[in-house]
Amino acid sequence: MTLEIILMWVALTFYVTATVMFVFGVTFTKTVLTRRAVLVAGLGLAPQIAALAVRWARLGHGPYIGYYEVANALTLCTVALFVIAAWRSPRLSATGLGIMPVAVLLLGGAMLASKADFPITAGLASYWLFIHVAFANLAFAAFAASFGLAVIHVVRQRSKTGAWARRLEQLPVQDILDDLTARFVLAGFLLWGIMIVSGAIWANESWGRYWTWDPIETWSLVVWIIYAVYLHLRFTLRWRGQRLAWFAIVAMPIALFCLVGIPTVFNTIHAGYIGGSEL
Amino acid sequence: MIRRLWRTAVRFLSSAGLAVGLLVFVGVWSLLATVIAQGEAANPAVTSWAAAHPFFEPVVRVLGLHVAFTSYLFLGSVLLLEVSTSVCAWRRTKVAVARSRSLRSAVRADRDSIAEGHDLEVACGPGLGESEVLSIAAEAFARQGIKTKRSPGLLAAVSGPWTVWGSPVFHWALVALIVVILAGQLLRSEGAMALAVAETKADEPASYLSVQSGPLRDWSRVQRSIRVDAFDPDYKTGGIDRGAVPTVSVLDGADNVLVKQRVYPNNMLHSGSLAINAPAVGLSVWIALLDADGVETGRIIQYVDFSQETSGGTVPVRELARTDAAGDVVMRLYATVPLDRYQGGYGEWVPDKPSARLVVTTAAGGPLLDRIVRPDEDVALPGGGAIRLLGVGWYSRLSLVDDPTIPFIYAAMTVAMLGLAMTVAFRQQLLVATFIEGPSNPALAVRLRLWRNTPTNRSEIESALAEALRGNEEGGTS
Repeated sequence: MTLEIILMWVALTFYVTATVMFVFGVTFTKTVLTRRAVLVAGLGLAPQIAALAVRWARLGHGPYIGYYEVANALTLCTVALFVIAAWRSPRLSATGLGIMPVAVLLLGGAMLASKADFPITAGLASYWLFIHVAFANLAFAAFAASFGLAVIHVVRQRSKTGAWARRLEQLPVQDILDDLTARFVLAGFLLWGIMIVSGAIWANESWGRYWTWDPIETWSLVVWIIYAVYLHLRFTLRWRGQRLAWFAIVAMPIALFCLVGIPTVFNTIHAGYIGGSEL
Repeated sequence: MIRRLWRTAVRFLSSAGLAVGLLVFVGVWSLLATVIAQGEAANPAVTSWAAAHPFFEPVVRVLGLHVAFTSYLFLGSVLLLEVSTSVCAWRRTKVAVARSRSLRSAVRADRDSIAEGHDLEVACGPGLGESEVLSIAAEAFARQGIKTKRSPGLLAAVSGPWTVWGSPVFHWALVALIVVILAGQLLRSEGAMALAVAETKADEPASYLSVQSGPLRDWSRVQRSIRVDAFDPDYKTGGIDRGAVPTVSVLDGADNVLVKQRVYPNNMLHSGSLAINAPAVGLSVWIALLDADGVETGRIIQYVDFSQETSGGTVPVRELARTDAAGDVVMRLYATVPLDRYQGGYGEWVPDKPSARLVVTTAAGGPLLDRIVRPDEDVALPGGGAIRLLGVGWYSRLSLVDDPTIPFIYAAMTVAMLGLAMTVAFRQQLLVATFIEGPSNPALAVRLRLWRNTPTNRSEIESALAEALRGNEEGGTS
């Protein structure tokens, strides 16, 4: 087992531990445990960054190719964004209950997937790769954050004054959670948009066509449209509360499927970044 | 009557319900297009999809889902979305103008104007003076995440007037983007051109293997030609194998070289609005046409593509035909190149000892000749004359896209993202507060607008101020 893999397992252990701590912390209303769970999640970032750095140094490229690398980068950004948000606003710590399981599932899946080394091919050798992938990762992190907030919102709303409402009472009031969810969606919408735009420019510079209705292009546009609908419902039609939270909960898995599922299900010119073959 | 109809139409087009409905339709339609085979009716993928889904096929065909992104239903929806977005952008512009005006006037506001027109009045405890009230209020605002600036008699936290323009800019940029994309479809040309090494072709429709042009594309204004100068079958740079790479030149009408460069993935050739990519390579068979006396009367180049599935490893890109004076085809000819065997398949390069298989048929396809020939070898053609194999080399299949709207598309996309970034990043808030002498107690008058990205809301501010300014006695709000 290489140093990189050992570090990655250490990171996963931290994330699993943090998730368990969130579950216990929230279930038994132990605020200190919930805050420490954020710290544990933050500590998990160190071995994961180190593992990716080792891999980067060995392969000469960042985590862009193959499910292992892609899921790793998505997890890193998701956990990092959550830790920063919870660090700045400790009252949000309990939202880790909604976010960390996503990170654990993603990284767990990556650890069970092939960790084969894929070189940068001629089709990928462009600075646009970094820009395109970076914004995809950041956008997903924002959507995952909105997902976590929305999950907490729904749990608390359904509980009304029940046990879960009491367990989650250290969180900001529902209206603020609602606003925060919308703000993360808006940020993700911008970042996803930049991902699409940078991809279109790169495609034009690489293939001479900025849009080909390739399945992954189409799905990424659909994800953008889904979140555009969310924003219209929120800001124009003034939807709030549980039904909008459900919208954010359903939308995030579609974004995730777009990033890691489409290349495995559809015949796409983007298949190379998950399968590792030449684009 | 007309005015009422106009207002109804504008209200309908600018309604969020319509926008959401159209977005949902476009999204669902696009998703369906990814699971339904796309192409014309004769496309093998479409026919096999139709055979596998006989229940859905009639509906899919009627709706035009096999050509989802050029169907009338989809284009109509996009057009309606464009109109809806335009109307929506216009309304957002009017809102932005009003807010911008409010923000500018708030910057100029003085104690009297706030005292005359405010949104919130919070009663202060007796004994609190102006300076004390403003200090307490500043702290209360800060606790709610709003930092205020103090000037004589005033507290202010006013966003710049430009901060309200993000949303209209984003929507107008989307409108412009769709317009520019549609314009591009009318003006652009896109096609594949085969060029052997040292071959030059004028950039005109006849030079292309296949080309699609928009209805407003004016080929007569294109005065340039394309040449492949050299070919590197295994080009490496930056430690990365770039594959088979041609060096391509674009020449102007006087044959001056405008641009010359190697073309490979992520290194397209750009010359004005023309972009050249080199997605595929193959071999070229150079053939001389000889008359009955053995004098060369012309040359033709047969392009062949690699194909591991066929005997010999190559297939002709297109057949050549000999016509009579009336223009009728009298015989057909094609050449392929037998490749060297390599690892159970065929080596995709120029063979060590190049040769060509020449096949000549009648117009109806009846066999006349089928021979392997070596360079400089002559073959007599049925009906007179002969052909000579001059040699075998590389050819590059270039993809040429001439789209003058690309810079505008980039600009519209960039502006859209900048507008969206403004919407995401900047607060849109107007807060100016001053001390006034109320009917019984002194009070804090606040002009307050919290439009977007603010860390708090009006009721929280009201409560916080009431709590902070209560002093020793109960305060109140009105």
